[in-house]
Amino acid sequence: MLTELAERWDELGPLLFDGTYATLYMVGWSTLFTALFGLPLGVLLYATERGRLLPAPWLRAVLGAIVNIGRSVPFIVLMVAVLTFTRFITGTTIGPTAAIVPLTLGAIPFYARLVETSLREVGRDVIEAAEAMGAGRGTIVAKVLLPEALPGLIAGLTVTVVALVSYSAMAGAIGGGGLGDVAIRFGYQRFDELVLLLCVVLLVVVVQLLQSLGDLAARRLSHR
Amino acid sequence: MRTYPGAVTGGIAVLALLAACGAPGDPVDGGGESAGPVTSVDELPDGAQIGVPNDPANLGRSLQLLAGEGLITLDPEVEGSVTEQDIAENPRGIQFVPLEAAQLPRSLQDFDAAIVNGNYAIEAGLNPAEDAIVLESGEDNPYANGLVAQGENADDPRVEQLGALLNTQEVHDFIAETYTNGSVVPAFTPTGPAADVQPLDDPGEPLRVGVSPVPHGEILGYVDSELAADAGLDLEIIEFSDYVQPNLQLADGELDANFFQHRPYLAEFLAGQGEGEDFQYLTDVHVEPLGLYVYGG
Repeated sequence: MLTELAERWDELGPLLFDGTYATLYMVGWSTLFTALFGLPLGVLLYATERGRLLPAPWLRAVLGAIVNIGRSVPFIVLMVAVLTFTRFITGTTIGPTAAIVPLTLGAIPFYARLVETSLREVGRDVIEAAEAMGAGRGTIVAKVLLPEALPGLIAGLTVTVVALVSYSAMAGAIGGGGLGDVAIRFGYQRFDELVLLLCVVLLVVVVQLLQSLGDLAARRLSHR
Repeated sequence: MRTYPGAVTGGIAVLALLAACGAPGDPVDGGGESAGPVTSVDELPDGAQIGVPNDPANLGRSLQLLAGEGLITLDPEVEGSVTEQDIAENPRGIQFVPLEAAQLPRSLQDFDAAIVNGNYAIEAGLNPAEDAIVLESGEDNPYANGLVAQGENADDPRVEQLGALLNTQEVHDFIAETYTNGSVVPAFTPTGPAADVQPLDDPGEPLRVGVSPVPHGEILGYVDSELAADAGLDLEIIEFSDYVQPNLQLADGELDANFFQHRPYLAEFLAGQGEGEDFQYLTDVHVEPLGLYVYGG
C-alpha cells in the first residue's frame, strides 16, 4: 500500500492536498458564520422562553419553528433549495465559496439549539444575583450568561464543526470539492480503494484535531 | 462576572486567517466577455468555465465529446472513463467544474457552458435539438443504456421477458413521445407490438430491477403499469440515486437485473472487479445524448 502510494504520489498528492484545503476552507468559513448567527439565535431562543429574560412565547414559537424546519430539511435538498439565495450572496451557485452558504444555513439552527441548551445550564441564582446588582438584560447576557456558559458554547461549536466536516462531503454536488468529494468521486465511484482509504484517514485526522482543539479550549475555560 | 478570554477571539482569528488564504479551486472568472450569444465551441472565451457531470459514467463521456471538438486532448494511455486529471493538453485554459448531473442545468447561468444529459436538459426547459451548441449523435451512439443481468440470471425467463418488452413498439413510442426534441432517443429497432410477446405461464417471484430514476425508472414504470401484467411479468423496481450500488447489488444477488448503465461503464466496472462478475449486457434501450449548452443559448 505504501509503495503504491509512493508510486502514485504525483497524481494523488495534489488531489488530496486540494481536497483537504477545500474542506478546511468550507468548514472554516461556515463555522465562523455559524457562530456569528447561531449564537444570537440561540440566545433569543433561550431568552424568549416564559420566565426568562425576555418572555415572548409567540416569538419563541416562530423561531423554534424556523429552527426545526432548518434542521429537518435534508442537506442535499437544502443546498439546491437555497441556490437563488446563494447566488445573491456569493454571485454564483458553484464552487467552494458558494457551498459556504448552504453549509452555514444548515449549521445555524443546529448550533442555535446547542447554544440554547448550554444557556439553560447556567444557574438561576447567578442570574438573580446579577439582577439584584442592578444589571440590565444586555449586561446579564454579555457579562453573566455567555461567560458562564462558555465551556458549553465551545463544546457545542466543536460538535457543530465536526457536523460541518461531514456535511461538506456533500458539497461536491455543487462543485465545492473537498475530501468527501474526492472520496466519493475518485474512491467510491471508481473503486480506487487507496484514494478512499487516504481520504477517510485524512478526514479522521481533521476531525480528531478539531475535536482536541475544542476540548482543550473548553477545558481551559472551565477552570474558574 | 468575567470577561472573555483571549483564547476565544484567538480561535476565531485563526479560523478566519485559514479561510482568508483564498478560495481553493473556486472557479475564477478568467475569460473575457465574448460578444453576443455563444453558438459554437470556438466562440467560448479562453479560460472558459465548463460545468461537467461528476459521475464516472458521464464525466469521461463529456470530456471525450469536448476532445472531439478539439477543445482539449486527452491522455491516450488512460483506459476507460477519463477524468479531469487525464487532460493532456488544454491550450485555451478551459476550467472544468464537476457537479452533480442534475445540478448542471440549474447552475447554467454561472458557467460559460455546461454539459447536460438529454433527460435533465428537457426537464430544465432546454431543447437539445435547438439549444445545444454541441450535441452527441443519437444514432449509433456507443453510450446506449440497456438491461444487464448476472450470468445465470440472463437465462431467467422473467429477465428475457423484460428484455423482450423493453424492445417493443410501445416502449419505442413511449420514449419518443415522452422525451421530445432528442433528449432521450430509442436505441433499438422495435420487434413488434407488446401483444406479440408470449405471456409467461408462471410469473413466479417479482423480478427485482435496479434503475436510475430518470429516465430508466420512468421507462420501466411504463412497462410495469402498461405492459407487464399482460405479459405475465411481475416487476419490482428499485431506484438508486447512485451509480455503483446497482452493480454491487446485482453481484450480490439482491437484484435480478439492472437498467441504469451503458456498455462502456459496465465494461469498466467489470475490468475493475478483476476476475469478478459474469454480467451480461442483454439489450439496448435508449441513449441520452449529452449536449453542451450555454445560458440563454
